[in-house]
Amino acid sequence: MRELFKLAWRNLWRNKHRTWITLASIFFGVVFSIGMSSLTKGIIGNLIIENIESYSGYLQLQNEDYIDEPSLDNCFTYTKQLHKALTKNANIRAAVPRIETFALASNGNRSQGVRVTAISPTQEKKMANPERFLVRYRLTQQALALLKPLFKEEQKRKDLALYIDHSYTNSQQMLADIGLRKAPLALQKKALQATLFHSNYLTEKDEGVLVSDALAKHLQVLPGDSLILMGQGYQGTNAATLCPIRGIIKVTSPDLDRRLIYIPLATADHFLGMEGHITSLSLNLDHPDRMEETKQELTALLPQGMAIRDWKELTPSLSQQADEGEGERFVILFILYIILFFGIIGTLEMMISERKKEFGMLHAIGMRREKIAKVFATEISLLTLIGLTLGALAGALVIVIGYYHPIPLHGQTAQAYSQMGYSPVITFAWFNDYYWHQLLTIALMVIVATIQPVRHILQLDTLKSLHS
Amino acid sequence: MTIVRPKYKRTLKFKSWVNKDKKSLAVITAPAKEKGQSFLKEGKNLWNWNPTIHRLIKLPPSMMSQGWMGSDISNDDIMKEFSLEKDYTHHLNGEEYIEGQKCWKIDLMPLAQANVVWGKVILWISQKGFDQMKAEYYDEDLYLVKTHQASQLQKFDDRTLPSITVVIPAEDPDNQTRIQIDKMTFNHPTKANFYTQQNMKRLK
Repeated sequence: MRELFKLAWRNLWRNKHRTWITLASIFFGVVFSIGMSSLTKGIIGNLIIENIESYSGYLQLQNEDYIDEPSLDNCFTYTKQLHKALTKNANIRAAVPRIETFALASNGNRSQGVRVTAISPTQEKKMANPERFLVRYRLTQQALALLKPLFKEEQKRKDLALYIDHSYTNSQQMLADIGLRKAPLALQKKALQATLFHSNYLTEKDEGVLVSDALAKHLQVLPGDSLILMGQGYQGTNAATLCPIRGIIKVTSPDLDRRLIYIPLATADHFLGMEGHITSLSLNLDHPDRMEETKQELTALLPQGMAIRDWKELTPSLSQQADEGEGERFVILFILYIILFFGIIGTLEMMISERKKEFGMLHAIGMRREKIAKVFATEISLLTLIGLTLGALAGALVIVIGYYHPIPLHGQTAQAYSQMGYSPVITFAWFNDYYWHQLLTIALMVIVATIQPVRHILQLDTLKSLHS
Repeated sequence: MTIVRPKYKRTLKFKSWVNKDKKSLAVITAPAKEKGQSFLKEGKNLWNWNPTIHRLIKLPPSMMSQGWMGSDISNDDIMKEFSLEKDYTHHLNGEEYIEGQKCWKIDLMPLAQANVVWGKVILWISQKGFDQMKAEYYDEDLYLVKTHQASQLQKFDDRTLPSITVVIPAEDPDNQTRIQIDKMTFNHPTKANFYTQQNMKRLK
């Protein structure tokens, strides 16, 4: 055994060049497949966090008819006992009541069909937390006029026009867009003052609403203005109300951003005549991977006529988008694997033909074919082990760095991302099964690639190879 | 007016006025949440005043097929401007008893040039007081759309009329709308500016 190892080790370093090339192909294969997986998984994970964890929740408690007929009439009474029974489950992180319906929002001559989501402003902080989406800065015409003198370069002044009417929830993103992220603090302060936008969050007894950014622009409303909401209430009543706007929120999903209105539960109850009923209870989980189990456990607790729906049932389009992302990952990985596989086969075949004379000689002076094959296999195993270890380490480094330092996008790339429904930030997923899967797949590939060369050695024709 | 749905039942109270020019006005008086909403029918327009939001709205064509106040009577039904006499051919189709009243059963088919919604109407008219006791409305493919059933003849002022009408849509027989007339007066004097948008906001 030791002898085998010694021979293999010496053989490897007899031709350093060849060894390094083979090592490099394994190394980069591992790093790329791990990095790529972590990246796509990170982006999909982010998509789920943005839309599920911070909007609809992984699970929702509803009237069983609500999914087929999302009408206010298919509502339920949310009792303290039910709340207690449900939150006893260890996997439930948050449970917040909501009323969701559609209405017509109008201001003057402008109107738009909107999605009215009634929330409890304090409880909702544990879930969607609309407060963090409040628009803090906006590049209005006036703001741009104030900003322009801050720039010396003509090009930068022109670039500003690209961002007209953009809204921002944080200063960093805004400063990055207008190109002041690395500017002196005094300059940044001036820019922030020029673009400041006043939005307030709701209180429990508020009669006001939060309006999403694109919707507010369409209706031409600002905080402090009033908005008419009209629609059908509980049991076919006419529902209409006039409510002041407290704040504007910028929602990541472009579709929601065009039609979302948050209203406090108590106000919505009055507006829609709900008599204390709600349409859904959104649940967030500590361990989303155990969603199916939790769903079953909770379903067992429910009274007649109620149902637990998971996010895949609630938002099938998002579920498809996630599947699509995963599918794309497989296609890219597959291509990568094919390139890698044939690369490895190529180097091994070359190695064999280069060393034909050597193997012939060894056989001629008395080394058995099996032993030659064993030495060869040990060489490849050593190479694989070293390549995988180095690759795994470098891959881990990529994951750690990528996870802790997500890359924020800005400008037009960010817009393109937002339009696709992804948040404009490149994130990496933390270690998970996919990491080991990549290592295992590549190890398997090398083993498969070694079969043919080993068979060649076992069928070695001494005379022919000596003459080659 | 009572609206019956499989899951609930809701009752509204309202007053309405109609004049000779076919202008009409209605105001909701109960429940409290909807009290004060008024409707004005004037020519081809239907206006709605909503006191909660202080807005006068002209109902758009898209809302015409929706039920008035969530009932089985669509806004279109309220707006209909056809004449059973001038727009249809009439054909007597036997006699039947409805609510104990001996009725003529009359088939009505629209005239080719008539601007009407229905493909066919069957009316049951009592022989005694000429009251419309039952009516069936069919679409252009002659499928039944809805049935109106009248009952409870009652004396209002100087004439006797059915006081209850039940509207049953053929597609959802579980749904129905029942209109009960509590009080009705005829030749009630109104001011010249009664059927106006301004007055809608003052009605009680």
